[in-house]
Parts: sequence; C-alpha cells; structure tokens
Amino acid sequence: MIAIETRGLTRRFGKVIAVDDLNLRVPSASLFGLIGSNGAGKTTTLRMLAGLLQPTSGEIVLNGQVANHDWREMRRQIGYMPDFFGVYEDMLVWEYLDFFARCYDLPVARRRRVTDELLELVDLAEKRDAYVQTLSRGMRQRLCLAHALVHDPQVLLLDEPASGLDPRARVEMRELLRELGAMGKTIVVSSHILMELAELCDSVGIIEKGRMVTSGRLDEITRHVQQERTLRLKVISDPSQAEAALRDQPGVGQIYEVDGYLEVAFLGEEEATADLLAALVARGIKLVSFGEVSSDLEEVFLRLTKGEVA
Amino acid sequence: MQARPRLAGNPIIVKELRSRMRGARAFVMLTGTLLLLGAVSYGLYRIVLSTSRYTNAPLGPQIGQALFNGLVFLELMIVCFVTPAVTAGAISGEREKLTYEMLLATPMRPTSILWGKLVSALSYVLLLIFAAIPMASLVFIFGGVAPWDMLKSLVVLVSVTVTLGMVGLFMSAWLGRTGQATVLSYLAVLALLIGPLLVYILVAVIRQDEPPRWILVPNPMSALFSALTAAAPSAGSDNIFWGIGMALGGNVGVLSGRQTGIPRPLYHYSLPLYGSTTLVLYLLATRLVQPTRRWRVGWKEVLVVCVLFVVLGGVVVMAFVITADRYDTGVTPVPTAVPAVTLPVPAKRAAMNLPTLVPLPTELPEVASPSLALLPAPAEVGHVAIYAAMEPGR
Repeated sequence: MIAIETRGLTRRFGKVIAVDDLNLRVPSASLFGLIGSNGAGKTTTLRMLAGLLQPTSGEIVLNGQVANHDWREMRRQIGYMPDFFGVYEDMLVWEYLDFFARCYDLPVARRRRVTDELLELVDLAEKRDAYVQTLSRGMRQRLCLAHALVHDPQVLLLDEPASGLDPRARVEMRELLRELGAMGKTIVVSSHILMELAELCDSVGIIEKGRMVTSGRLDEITRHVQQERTLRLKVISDPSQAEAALRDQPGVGQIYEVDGYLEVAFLGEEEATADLLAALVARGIKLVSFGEVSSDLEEVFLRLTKGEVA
Repeated sequence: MQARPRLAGNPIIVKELRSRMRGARAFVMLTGTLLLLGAVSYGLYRIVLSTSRYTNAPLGPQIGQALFNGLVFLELMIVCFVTPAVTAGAISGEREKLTYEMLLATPMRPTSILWGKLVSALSYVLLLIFAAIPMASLVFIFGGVAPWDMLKSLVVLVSVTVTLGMVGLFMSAWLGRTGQATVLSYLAVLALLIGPLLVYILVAVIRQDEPPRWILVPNPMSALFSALTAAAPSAGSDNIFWGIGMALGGNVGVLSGRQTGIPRPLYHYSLPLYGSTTLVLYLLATRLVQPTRRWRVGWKEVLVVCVLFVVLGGVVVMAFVITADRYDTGVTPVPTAVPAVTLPVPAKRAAMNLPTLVPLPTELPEVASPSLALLPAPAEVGHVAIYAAMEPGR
C-alpha cells in the first residue's frame, strides 16, 4: 500500500520554482530518504506534505485520501519535525510534550502515559523536570522528534533530523529512526548527506533544483549509475601500446594516466570486464594490477547532481 | 471550521499561564501596580483634603469621587500601555522563535489558537484590573460612588482591554514581527486616545462652535468618563478629574448649557463600536493564522460571521430599546413657569433609590424674568440638578 503519493506537485515562490512537478511514491511502513543539496526543495516538499504550505499545483494523496480541504483530520495522521525549530521558554520537558498532546486532544490518562513513554523512547526520562531551554542540541532534536509522535501518527515527516548533531548523537538518532521503522511507521526523512541515509532507508529519492532526479531502492540507483565503471590498471610494458590495445575494445571511453596507473572509463557489466582483461592479456600487455575503482555513494550523488547546482 | 473555542483545556491557555505565572516576575509586577495605585490614591486623598472648600456639601463624597475617578483613570492608562506589550508578540513571537510551524502542524483550529492567545495574554491584564477592585472599594468608605458606578467603569475597562488586546493580536498575526506589531499597536492606542480629542478640538476651532460629541466615541478615556459622570461631584466640584471628565465625556455642552448631538452617555456607543471592531479583527486574524487557503472562505463560515454580527447587533439594539425611556429626548416641553419644572422619576429606579438621569425639556419654557432663562441639561435626582443660566436671546 502506498502511504504517500504526490502527483505533479509544484510550488513556486514568485518566479522561483522550489518544487517542480514532483512525483513521489512512498510505500507504507517504509523508510524513504529525500536527498538533495541545500536549496534543492526538500523542506518545501516536506512542508507541503505536512499541510503547512499550499502547493501551486499538483496533489498529495495520504493513505489513499486526497489531501485538499480537511487538513485538520489529515494532520492527525502526520507527525512533522521541521529542520529549524525553537522551543518555548519557561517550560518543562514534560509540559512541552503535554502541550502537544493537548493540541491533539488526547485524553488526560493517555496524555500522561504517552508523555512518559515517549520520554523513555527518546531517552530523556531523567530530564523530565528540566527546563526545555537547558537541553543540549541533540536532546532538543530528540524532544522535537518525540513531539511529532505524541498522537502516534502513521506517517512521520522528518526534516534533517540529524543536522547539527555530533557523530554520537547522529548514531543515536539513526538508531531511533530504525526503531520507529521497526514499529511499522512510514518515515520520510530528508538529508543533504546521502551516506547518512544509505544503510537506513529502504528507498531514496534524489532531488535537485526541485526535480526528482531519480528514485528507487538504493542499490538499484547505485547500479544504474555505476554502469559506467572506472577501471584502474598498472602496465609495466609500453603504456602507449596498452592504450592502443584498449582503444580496440568495445565499451572503452576516456583513458587517463594517473600516478603511473591507467584509468579507463568502461561501460559494461562484470562479464565484459573479464573479457577486456582477457583481451589485453591476449595482446601481450603486461599487467600487474587490474581492478575497479569503487565509486562510493557520495560519488554517485555528485554524478547525479553534477553541475546542476549553481 | 469556525468558532468553537474551548476555554477549559485550550492547550495554549494552559501552556501560557503555566509559563507566565512561573517565577517571581508576574507577582512582582502585580504588587508594583497595586503599590502604585495605592500611592496615587493616597496622594489624591491628601490633595482633595487640602484643596476642598468647606461648603455645606459633605466632604466624604467629594473625596470618594475624586479617588475613584483618579483610580479608574490610572487603571485605564495601565491597560492602554500594558495590553499591546503582552499581545503584540503572541503570534509573531511563535514565528520568530520557530515554534509556529509545529503548532500549525497540529489539528488545532485557528480560532482556538487565537482564542487561547487572546485569553492567556489578557488574563494577566484583567488580573491587574480585578486585583485593584478591593482597593478601589475603599472609596465606599467615603461614599459618593455607587456600586453601580464601579460596575459600569469595570465594564468599560474590560471592553477597552479586550479591544486593545485584539488590536495587538491582529497586528501580531498580520505583520509577523513582534517589533513592528508592537510599534503599530502602540500607534493605534495613541491614535485612539489622542485622535478623537484632536479632531474634536479642531472642529471646535474651525466651527467656532460646540463640536458634535460623537467624535469622541472611539476614545477610551471619553467612554470611561462618560460612564462616570453620575459620579461627578454634586457640589464643590473643583477636583481636576471632574473637569477633565466632563470635557472628555463630551459634556462641555452641559457646562455651557448647549449640549449638541447624541443624548446618551458616550459609552453607550463606544461599547458597540469596540465590540464590532474586536469581532472584525478576530475574524480577520483567524484567516491570517492559517497556513494554507487563507482567503478561501466557505459559505458556512460566511453564515457563522453573519450570525455573529446579527447577534451583536441584536444585543445592542435590545440594550438601546430597554433603556430608551431613560434617554428619550422626545419629551414634550413643560409649558409651566420655571420653578415648576418637575423631574419625572421612573418608579422602579426611585423605589431602588438609585441616581437617575432624567431628560429635561429641550424647549425653553417661558420665563417671567427677562434676564434669566433656564436651559435644559441632564440632572441627577438625589443630587442637585445642574442648571446653566444664560441670558435669553443667545
């Protein structure tokens, strides 16, 4: 079942198109990563999904319901955590959660239970009676996440939940998201760092200048992008001879010489790679090393969004 | 989608009151205000004591009235300068502190958000007003002020508070910046306090005549003093507040014997004006706090708004009709000679021994003496009637 779907979602701010004809499909009970550089339109998209921003055109379907007039009811299904947020002054941690629980009309008994349970979940139980403004950044981030959970929503929209956190807090936040994912919630989480979401998300969408560049399961995207491999070989015979031999092979693109190595852009599957190696050896090229330069996710991301950010 | 504000359990009220009353600040300010009011009352008491002439009029009521007028005037000033400060940041503060989005992402209705903000901000100002009631009640020792007068001035004070609070809240929702909203709210308060007076004086200067009293209707000071005129000193009326009050209440005409325009006390018009202004601003603000589809109004909402205005209009008309017999100017002139002018007292009020404003004939009766005529003016039964003597033919 699809939890969130957008059809041709577009938002303009004056002449600037922040989100351009975005089509998104997030299956329920899955973790979806929305990845893009700063200003790519992630926040705008999430705000529209949370009902805080009116789309210029296009529509949003939440759990099979078209979101149009009755946002009030829709909001009960959504927990939203903005990227930048403040906390109320002069408020205790439990009062903060209690306030949002009241906003969602939770009855007294449930309010009390939910507050304690959530503080336990986000590991703030011992800070229950502390003032909110005394919390550290990581704690505030977790408290904000807790606030988005008071009404036990099916869909969570988290805008850069790990931004500004130290590595340890990042790991904690990631564990928390994993835990929530295991609870069967649909989570859309945005980040400008692909690595951060790589092992966490079931699927990702890469967004650039308001457009969805690609989306799908992460390994699929990687494979798709990585069809063009970079091979690195060390030749001890004459390099120009090797170059000439390489040129004769199908699928070979640019050839560079880097630090005594030859780097070859090669289009082909593993089978073709093996064939290339065999052909080179057959031509009498003396190879001491032949391998693939593994392109990591960051490189995938850069390649997908290359040159598009001004 | 409209107007179902909950007082009990409105999350914003609970939150704001918890935060506001936490710590010493709120109590220190309340104590300070009461001390100020007390000090001013004592000062007034000494002034009235030292300046009063020993006439045959009793001194007690004079002191009571001076104290009471001084106190409510001071309270009005406090209301005018505290209310914008506590409401102008209500919505814009949430925006500036980046808490607003999270609040809007909840299913709370815009009306509930506004209602919660208004009630929680005003509750503190109202606390300042109500905390002063016991102290103001000291004037009952001196007499000269009826509980009814106190009730009337309270009603005016509270409605001024609510109106100014709504102005601040509207500015806050509209401008989105606390600084701008505060400045504009104070400008609005100043315009209300000074604007009508300036126009009034200007009209007087240009026309070289008594300006129409309705110009003063929007002025909170005029509304307050028009509610207090019954408490104006009956004799030996030389305390400052009486003169100011008469002038602000648009009752200069009474002093000079040439009252023009509307026959009722000004606050009868001020209160409906404040009520409708508050309602309009509230409704506009409910649109302004919505994140999406701000100005898309459904027919249901239009219907609710219509009903609200009909109810408000109905209440005002009812009030005017019920009190009509007290203020109706369509009284037939009394044809008899001057000393025989009788003051008709409505039986019910006479039985309750309450002060009553009675209309006097607008047409001048024939006067035996050619040099003196009596002009009609509102007068108090139980007090000495105020008459203005003028030469005939003017």
